[in-house]
Amino acid sequence: MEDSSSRALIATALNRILDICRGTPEGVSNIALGEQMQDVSLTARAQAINILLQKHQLQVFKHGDTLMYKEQSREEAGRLKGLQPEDLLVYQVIQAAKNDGIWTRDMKRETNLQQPQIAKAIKNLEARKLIKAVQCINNKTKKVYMLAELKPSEKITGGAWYSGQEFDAEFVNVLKEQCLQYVLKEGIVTLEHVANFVRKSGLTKEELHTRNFKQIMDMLVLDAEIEEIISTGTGAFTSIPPDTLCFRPSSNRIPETSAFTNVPCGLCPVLHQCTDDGLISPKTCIYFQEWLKF
Amino acid sequence: MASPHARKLACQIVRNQFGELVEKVCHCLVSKGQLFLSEISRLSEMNLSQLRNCLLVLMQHNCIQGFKLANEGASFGPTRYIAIVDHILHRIRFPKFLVGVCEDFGQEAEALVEGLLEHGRLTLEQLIQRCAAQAGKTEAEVETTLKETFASLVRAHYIERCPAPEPLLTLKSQDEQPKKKVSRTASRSRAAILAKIVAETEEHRILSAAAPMEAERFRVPASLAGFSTSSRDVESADIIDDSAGKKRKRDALEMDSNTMNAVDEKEVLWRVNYEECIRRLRHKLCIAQVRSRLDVGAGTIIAAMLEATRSLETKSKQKVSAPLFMDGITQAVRNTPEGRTMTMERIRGALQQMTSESLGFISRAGEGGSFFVVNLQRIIELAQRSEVEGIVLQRYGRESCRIFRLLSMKGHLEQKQISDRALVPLKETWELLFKLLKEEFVELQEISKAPDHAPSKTFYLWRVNLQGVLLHVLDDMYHAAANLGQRLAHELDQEQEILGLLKQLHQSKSSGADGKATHVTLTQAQHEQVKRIRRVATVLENSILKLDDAIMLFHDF
Repeated sequence: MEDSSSRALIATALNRILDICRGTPEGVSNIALGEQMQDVSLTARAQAINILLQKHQLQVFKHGDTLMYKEQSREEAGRLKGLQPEDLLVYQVIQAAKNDGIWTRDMKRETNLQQPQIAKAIKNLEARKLIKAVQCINNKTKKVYMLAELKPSEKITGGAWYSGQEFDAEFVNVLKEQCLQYVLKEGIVTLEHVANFVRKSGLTKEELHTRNFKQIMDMLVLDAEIEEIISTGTGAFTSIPPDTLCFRPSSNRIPETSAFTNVPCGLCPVLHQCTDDGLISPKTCIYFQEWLKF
Repeated sequence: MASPHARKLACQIVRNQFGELVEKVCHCLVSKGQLFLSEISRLSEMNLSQLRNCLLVLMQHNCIQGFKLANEGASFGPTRYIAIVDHILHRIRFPKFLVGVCEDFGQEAEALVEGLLEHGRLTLEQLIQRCAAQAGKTEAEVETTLKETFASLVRAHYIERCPAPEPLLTLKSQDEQPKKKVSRTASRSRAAILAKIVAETEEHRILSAAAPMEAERFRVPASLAGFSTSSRDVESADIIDDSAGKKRKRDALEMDSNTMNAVDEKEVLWRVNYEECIRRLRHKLCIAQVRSRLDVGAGTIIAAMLEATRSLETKSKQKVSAPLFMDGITQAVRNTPEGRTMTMERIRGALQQMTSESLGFISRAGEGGSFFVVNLQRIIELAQRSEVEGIVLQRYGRESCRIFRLLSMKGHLEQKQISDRALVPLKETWELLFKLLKEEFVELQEISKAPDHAPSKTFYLWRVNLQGVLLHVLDDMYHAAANLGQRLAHELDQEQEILGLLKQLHQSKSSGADGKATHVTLTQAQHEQVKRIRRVATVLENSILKLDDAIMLFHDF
C-alpha cells in the first residue's frame, strides 16, 4: 500500500521535474529545482532524479559549483542507453568541447578519472560511433576527440587551405593565379567580385568564406602583383559604391632581375667566406667558371 | 669610413688605373684613416721620393685630400692625408658622367669634361691645348667656342675650381678620439655603424673645409665672363651672384683684369664636380621611377620641375627640390618638348595624383601649401626598397619575399601571424625566417614571460630593419664588384700569352704598311681563345657597370 503511494508520489515528481526542465532548456540548478518542488519530499525527488538519470532522460552537469539538470532528448537518450556512468561523464566533457575537440590529458583533468578508465570510455564511445578522433594540424601526434556528427573547427583542420594533414599549396597556388588573372582582366575589382568569380568558375567545391578570399588577395598584395585602393565612386569606380576596398593590378611589381643577382656573387651562398686568396676566391670560383663558359 | 669592401674595391680601382705602388699608398690611407707623410712611409715601406710621387698622382686625381689641424687659428704639426673613397669609386662611373654631359651640352662639352676626368686637374690653358690637339686643329681655331662651352659648364656646376690643398681644420673636442678607435676594431656591430657615421662626418668636415666658398667655387674666369649663352645659365649665374661678397670680388677683379686673366687661365686648376654629375644621375633615376610607376606625363612634370630647380640644389643628397609655384611648374613643363601639348588640367591632375598620401612624390610647401616640391628622398627610398625586394625574391624565392615585405610593412610579428598572413605553412615559415635571419635580412626579438626564457613562454617577434639591410646589401655589392674586377684581372692574366700575340699582330699590321712585315698569324684555336676572352671581358665589364648603378642607388643617391 505504502509502496504504491510512494510510487505514485515518485511518478508525479518525475513528471514535475521533466516539466520544469522542459521550461528551462539551458538547464536548471539543484537549488532552483528544490525551490520549485517544495511540496515534494526530498527522498521522492532524489529517487525520481535517479530513475530519470538511469533512463538517460535527464542529464546532470556542473556549472561552476552548482549541479544542473537538463532534459535529454529522446534520440540522445536512446543512443546513450546502457552506457556506464564513467562513459557518460567522458561523453559530456567531449560534448562540451564542441568542434574544437578535446585532448585525453584535458579529459583527465576535467573528469578526475584515471587514464585507463578514460581510455576504456573512449573505446566504448568510439565503438558506438558516438565520438571520433581528429588529427590536430598544429601537432601531428596530438589527437583530439569530438562528437561524431561535428565538423572539426578551423583551429583543428587549419582551415580551407589544408587538405587532410597537409597544406594544400597546389590549391592555394591555383586559386591565387586565377584571382590574379581575374584582376588583370577586369582592372578594378572588389572582394565580392572575386568571390563571385571563384564560386562561378567551379574551381573548388570547398565552401570558401569572404575571409578566405581576403587572405588570397592580401597575399597577392604582399607579392606586389596587385594593390589596394579605396573606391571614390567616380571615374573608373562608377559601378562601385564609394569607400569600398578595391584591388587593381600593381603599378610597382617586384623586379624580376637585379644587377646584383645577375652576377654569381649575388646568389652565392658563401660570399661572406670569399677572400682574394682564400679557399674560396673569385679566381677559383666554380660559379664564375660556370657563368663565363661560352 | 666606408664599408670594408668599398675600401677593397677602391684599392682595386687604384691598382688598375695607377699601378701597384700608388695602390700601396692608397691602401694605407684607406685602411688606416688619416695619416702623416712619415706614417705612410713607414707603413708602405717606400722611400720618400717614390711616396711623394704616388701622393701627387692621387692628389692630381682627387683621390686624397691633405689638411692640417689648427688650434686657435695657428696650424701645428705636419700635413695629414685622408683618402676620399667616394671619389675613387666615382672612377668607375666616368663613362656615365660623360653620357650625361654629352646629353646636356653636346660633344664639345663632353671632350672638355673627358679631358678633366682623364687628367684629374688642369688649367684652362692646358685643357684647351689638349682639346685642340685631339681635334687636330690649332688652339686659335677652337679657343673661342671651347671657352664658351667651358663657361657654360662652370655655370652649370659641372666644373669647379679645385679645393685648397691643405686647409686648416679647427680641432674638435677630445671626446672624438675614443670613438675612432672603435671603428678600427669592431666590424658589424651597432657601435661600428655609429663609428662609421662619426668618421664619415669627419671626412665631410675636411672636404668642406677644403672646398672654396660656393661663389668662388663656380666663379667663371674673368676672361670668359662675357660669354652668356642660354637664358638658363644667366639665371643660375644670377642666383650665385646674389651674395654681396661676390660683387666686391668682381669689382676687385676688374681693377687688374689683365693679370687676373692670365692667372685664371694659366694657374687656376679646374676639375670635374662629381657632385653635380651624381645629382644628374640621381634626377634621371627619379624621373625614370615616376615614369614607370605612373605614366610618361607624370615623368615629364617631374623632369621639368627638377630641371627648373637644379641649380638651386646644394647638398649632395637633397631631400626635396627647391619650391616652385604652380605657374612655375606649368611654364617649366611647357618648355619641354614632351610637355608642350599638355593642358593645364592634365598638369593639375597629375600633380594632384602625385601629392596623394599613398604616393607622396610631390608635397606642398610654404604657407597655405602654394608651393610644390619634389620629394626626391621618398622616390629614392621607394626605388631602394624595390631593389632590395627584388634581391630577396631572386635569392630566396617568392614566399620569402612575401614574408620580407609583410614584415617591412607591419613591423613586429610572431611566426604564427606571419604564417597566417603570408599563407605559408607554419613549419616552412620557420625555415624561411631562419634563412633570412642568417643572412641578416630580418631580425628576431625575444620577449620572455618567464625569467628562465623557456621557449614555450616566450614571444618571438620578427622584424625588418630596412636601413640595416640596405647597409649590408651595399657591402655585399661592393664585395661582388670587387670580385668581378678581380676575376677580370685574373682572366686577362691567364690569357696574357694570346693577348701579347694579338698585340704583336696589330703592330705588324700597322707596320706592314711600311713594308717590313713580320709574320704573326693566329691558329684557329687561338682565334677561339681571343673570341672567348673578349666575351668574358665584355660580360664582366658590363656587369660591373650595371652593379655600380645599384651601388649608386644605395650609397650616393
